[in-house]
Amino acid sequence: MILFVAGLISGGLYFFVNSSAGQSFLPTNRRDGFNRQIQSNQAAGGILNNLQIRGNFQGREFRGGLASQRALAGIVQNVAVIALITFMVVSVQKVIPKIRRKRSLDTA
Amino acid sequence: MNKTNLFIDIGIFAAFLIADQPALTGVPLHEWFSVAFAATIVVHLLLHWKWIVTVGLRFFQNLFHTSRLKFVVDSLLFIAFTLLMMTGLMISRSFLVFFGIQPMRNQIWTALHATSASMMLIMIGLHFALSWNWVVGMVRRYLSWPGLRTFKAQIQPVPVPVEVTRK
Repeated sequence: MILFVAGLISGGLYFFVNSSAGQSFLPTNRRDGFNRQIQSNQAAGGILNNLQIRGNFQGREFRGGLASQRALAGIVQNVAVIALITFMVVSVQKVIPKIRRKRSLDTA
Repeated sequence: MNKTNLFIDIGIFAAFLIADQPALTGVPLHEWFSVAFAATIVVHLLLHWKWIVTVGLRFFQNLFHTSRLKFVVDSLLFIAFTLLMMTGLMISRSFLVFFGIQPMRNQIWTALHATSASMMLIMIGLHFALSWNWVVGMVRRYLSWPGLRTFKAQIQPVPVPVEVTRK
């Protein structure tokens, strides 16, 4: 069941991306740079154990491979995001029953 | 069982935080680590399979029950996770290459990988928030500080014996 749903999502996405091949929502200069990077990596004889690969994930990009300080800052940022979401949701969950109780007391 | 779930969940959370930072481990380790992470997620799903089936079956029967929002969030989290893994494999530079497969790397996959990672972070936050009561309960039960346990035991009211006389 899990694999079926996962396969359905992956297959659908694969079909969608392949059907829109050639289109890209990224600027041409960035696309070309990325292609050059892959070609140079392939020419260098593979990157299987290269820990200094340059990556580019848009807003979450990392340049020059390992960067422990930036990574730790990223981890702290992610924990902060999760904590903020949790705080907001738990607050709403606690406030709503209080408002309801107050309303029912007011009407009574 | 709850204890196992708690420790698996803590492990998954820590693994997500590490896997989400390729700059910490480098791309090859990031890929292998993420695949191991995916296997743990499957274990997590199997451990909660009964809940998934029960709530899934009731989803269209009873429109207003408390687990409904959680089910929707968990479904979106699963979709985000599947997208993340799939796009990650499509831009793989180490994992698939190890098995002799050359994925057709494409900027669309890279962009989708970043987007699904952000989506998954938000969904994990919601998943965590909606499970807050369970997390607090389990942490208090299994991970509380030994000193705190002793303190709690000390402040517990001592039951006073009551004499019951039967007529």
